[in-house]
Amino acid sequence: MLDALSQLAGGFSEVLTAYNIALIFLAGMIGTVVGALPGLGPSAGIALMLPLTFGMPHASGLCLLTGVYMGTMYGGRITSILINTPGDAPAIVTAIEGYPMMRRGEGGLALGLSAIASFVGGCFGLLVLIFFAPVVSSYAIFLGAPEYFLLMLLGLSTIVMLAGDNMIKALLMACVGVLVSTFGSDYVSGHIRFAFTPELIEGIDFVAIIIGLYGLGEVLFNLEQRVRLNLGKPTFSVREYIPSAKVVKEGSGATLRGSLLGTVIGILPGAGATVATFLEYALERRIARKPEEFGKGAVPGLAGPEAANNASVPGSLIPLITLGIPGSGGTAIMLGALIMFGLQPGPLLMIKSGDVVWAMIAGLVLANVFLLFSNLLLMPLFVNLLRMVQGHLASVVTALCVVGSFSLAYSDFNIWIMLIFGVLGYLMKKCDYPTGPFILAVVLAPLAENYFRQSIMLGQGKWQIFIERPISLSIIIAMVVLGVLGIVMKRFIKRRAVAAAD
Amino acid sequence: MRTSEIILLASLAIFAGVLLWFSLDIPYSAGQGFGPGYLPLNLAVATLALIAVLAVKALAARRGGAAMPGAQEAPSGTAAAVLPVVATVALLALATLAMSLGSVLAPLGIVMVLISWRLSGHGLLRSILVNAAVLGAIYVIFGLWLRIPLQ
Repeated sequence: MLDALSQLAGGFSEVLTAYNIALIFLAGMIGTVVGALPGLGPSAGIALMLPLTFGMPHASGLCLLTGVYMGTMYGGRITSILINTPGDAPAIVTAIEGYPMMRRGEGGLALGLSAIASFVGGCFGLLVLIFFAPVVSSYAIFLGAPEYFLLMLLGLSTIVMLAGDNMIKALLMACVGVLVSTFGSDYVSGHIRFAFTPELIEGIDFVAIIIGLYGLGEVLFNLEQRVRLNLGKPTFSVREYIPSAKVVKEGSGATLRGSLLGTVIGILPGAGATVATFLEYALERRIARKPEEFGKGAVPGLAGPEAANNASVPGSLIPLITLGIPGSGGTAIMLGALIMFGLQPGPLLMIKSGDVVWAMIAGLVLANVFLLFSNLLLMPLFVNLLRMVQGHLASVVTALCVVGSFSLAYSDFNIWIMLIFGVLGYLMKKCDYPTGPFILAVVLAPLAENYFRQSIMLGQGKWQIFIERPISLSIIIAMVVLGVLGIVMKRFIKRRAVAAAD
Repeated sequence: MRTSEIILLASLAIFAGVLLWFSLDIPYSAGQGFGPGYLPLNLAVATLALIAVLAVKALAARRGGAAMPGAQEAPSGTAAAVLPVVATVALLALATLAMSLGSVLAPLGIVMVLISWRLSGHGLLRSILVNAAVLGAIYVIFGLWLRIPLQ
């Protein structure tokens, strides 16, 4: 514990420079605006910021990306509460309770309460990250190639299973993601696969894919949908943001429960902030003394999911930095960023690049504090920024996508890649095909294939190696249990829906 | 099944089919393990199988819907709604081709103004001014700070 604190202090000493402080503040502001805008989410925010990190010190680059990630979690709630238009998927639940509060004249309270709950959730998740990550990392070095392969498979299968009715579509996109990742030279044999042009010898640039999928794809979708926000001119005094003692008492239990649930869900590979918020909302509704108040501006229904939302961010970073396994689409992009910086994701990351990791964690702590104060005090600024940007979003984001793709290798080839995946992202969004399994597969598949082939070689050509090792066997059992649970839950929910209809 | 979904699945099927064809020339096995052709070949087959499953499900749903009088498939987006998307993609493709003449920002600027003016519905002067400012900011960040050769 003391060791973690001293490492964190080291991280702060690296981050507490004028440059890094300004960067973290800016990242939070950008993330808040991106998160508030419908059509852009955490993944788009991180994807668009990635090219900016080239040439930055690694710690600063990671602070920028994690600051944007955290900022989008704060930002999604703004348009949810003000105009019932969630900025991103995790903010859908915020609209259910926040907008009714706005309508009855308690918009300032809703914004303040959600900001404070978000801060508490973020703090809780950060505490778990600071003290739990080094422990996981110290045990993770005992994992071998079979265990890593199975953990990655667990992450991929969880995100597919959580796709609900879209499971076949999710599985299809995961397969396509794996196929995309096979371009270029094979890790083990060095054989070059599918190099139809010389640029493909090194594979398809992951950053160009995500910029296209999440940046241009969203722009194309919004151009068709013609989403326009009417933000009005909300005027709140600072006093309205501060909840009364009664409201604090009403929301504190939900905030703590949301913080815990959000962190745990964030840690699970394949789950993410959206799952955390919906589960927390369902829990609060279930245990509420007055469930009839839900949907009409219930304080626990707003505070709990907001806390879960933000707690899931540090939670999802735990498997990423300790095992090298991303927990969601956003952290999948973070994994790509780590590889791009030349850092080795996995348990050795905290040993070989501990200074960078702790600087990132310190940056996240700062970002959480900045975001609380900026979201409470600078609300009119955010609303004006949103009003100014949203009308020109298409051209601005398009420009960032093109320049960002070009800057990867100073070549127009990546612009073509971005364009192709932009069209794919648009079609996927339009036809309701999930992007999470696709991007997770693109990032994990090369590593998973490598570990898989190493495992088979270790087992001398036999598959039994996965069953002979106790940890591998436990992971397989966990996968089977999760799969069976998923199917049983689905049938149970379907049966209840049919019974309710009758 | 909507037209856009048919286009998506057809494109993915062609993609998987091409990779399946080319992966037949890549070694499938190697010594005691699997070769570089193992994963792409099997995943290409899995992709085509899943696309077939989705197509069959859609056909079955359509037959089931057609059997019920009055049942209609949900309408897909109109051609007019999709036009901005097609136009943007075409503009970006033309701009990317034009970039081979030496400048990244010039063709990009034209595309940005056209998107703002014709597709987002802003006035021409406003489109030019706003996008010039954005392009200027992008040049400062990427061209001057990150030293990326954009001109």
